[in-house]
Amino acid sequence: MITVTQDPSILVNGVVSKWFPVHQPISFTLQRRDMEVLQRSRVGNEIQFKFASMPSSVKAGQTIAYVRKQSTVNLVIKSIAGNYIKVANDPFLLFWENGFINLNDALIGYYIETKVSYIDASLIKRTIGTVKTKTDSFGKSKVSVQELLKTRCDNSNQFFYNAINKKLLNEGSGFILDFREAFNTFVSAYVPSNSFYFANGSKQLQEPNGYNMGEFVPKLNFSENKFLSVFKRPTFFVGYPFSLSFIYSDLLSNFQIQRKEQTKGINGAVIANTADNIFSAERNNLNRLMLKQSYPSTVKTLDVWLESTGVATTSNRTERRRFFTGGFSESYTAGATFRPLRPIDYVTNEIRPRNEARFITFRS
Amino acid sequence: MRVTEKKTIKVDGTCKSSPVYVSWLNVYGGREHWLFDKIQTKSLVTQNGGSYESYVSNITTSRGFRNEITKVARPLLSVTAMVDIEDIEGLKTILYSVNVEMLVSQNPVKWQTIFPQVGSFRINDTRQTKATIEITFELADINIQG
Repeated sequence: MITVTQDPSILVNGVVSKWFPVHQPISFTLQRRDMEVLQRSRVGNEIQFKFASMPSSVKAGQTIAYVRKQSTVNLVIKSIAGNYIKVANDPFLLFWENGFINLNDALIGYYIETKVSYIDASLIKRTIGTVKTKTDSFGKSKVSVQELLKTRCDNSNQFFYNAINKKLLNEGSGFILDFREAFNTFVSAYVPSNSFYFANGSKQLQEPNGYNMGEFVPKLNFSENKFLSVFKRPTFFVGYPFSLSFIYSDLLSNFQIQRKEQTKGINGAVIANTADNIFSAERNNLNRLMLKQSYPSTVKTLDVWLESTGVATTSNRTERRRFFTGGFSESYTAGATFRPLRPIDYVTNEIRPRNEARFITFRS
Repeated sequence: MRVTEKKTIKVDGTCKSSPVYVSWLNVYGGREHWLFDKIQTKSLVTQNGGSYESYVSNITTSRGFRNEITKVARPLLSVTAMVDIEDIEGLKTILYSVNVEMLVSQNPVKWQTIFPQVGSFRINDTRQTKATIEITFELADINIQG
């Protein structure tokens, strides 16, 4: 069994932020747990462990690693009887919690395979590649996936400034990891993780939230989440294409979001207030937000922000959620395989759901 | 309930002479935009891509010994803008952006990748409320035989 003991998501204002800059480490810690110890006791001059079952490949004389939270020790199996293993007496083995053992000798060539997939424009899960890792003496292994995700980013401006908001997959998208373990000739089935998200950016030294975009992730319980702009007050040049980048976060799922604008004259007097619904189908990606524009000439500044109406919207995606270690997992339909970003993807005016026939042609 | 900060946007509807509209990727993965105007200096930097001398059998009828292999020609565009002091911090980021693009068509929107020259940012006077800044962009190289 594999568990995810650490993932890069953090709590920001009490809610989980799962958005990471892709040019910095996105690391997950996995732990292998071969057999849970159900019971420990001293029998004569030996320590006896009880398990739920016993694989036939476990033999006397093999080395096992006994892992508890604080320690890991290598033990040699003296004898096996049914679901019991006996090892040499050591009172230290009876301390702390029951823990688990890893069958270092019985499971030859053990490794964890992590499949990295991104979510494409039509919400299909597509595999980018896999990472194989060995485990350490605690059964832990660290998997960093940013290099694979980076292949989905493209620095160029792919927005056509023709929608109130638009997701751009080259600027960031969702990703899912699938884990499986392999040893001897056995390969287990993949178990999917939660959905996580990446942005084509990086964080600076001493900024809050570390390698997490937390302060840019709009949350329903906090109203000062930032737009992705380095200007204190950006300038809109009338007649030229303008957009503000923001994270249309997973935390806004199922609520209608509006773009609110308050235009002001030269003395700061309010001229007009407007509210427009933004497209909820664009969520869970980096988005561009356009201004309403066509302002009267008296407008000198305007305030723009996003607001939730509190009205639930119907979901446009599969929202079947299932429980997984440490949270919930959203289900996506599995797609075929990775297709590298090519200029041809952007010949059409918009990033459209990928055409399957073309997809097969270009499969590498 | 509000889910983002209130971002104040300045609306600039003034007429511009020699406008150059630029968008660039900031470090957080967002896209910035700016309109440069006023002085716009165009220049061209060229380099020799090497030459060779050929054997001449008859010097009387020869056109010369030296032949060019290729050339490098890189157009430059210097732009300026009168900006508020508060905008300078944002505009500086254009120098270390990994993708800067210049608008070449409005409908449909089309961009061309350009490259700010290293260290070419100049603030002329920071004591004022407004300052003139100047940036030189390298445009796409001209394709030449060779």
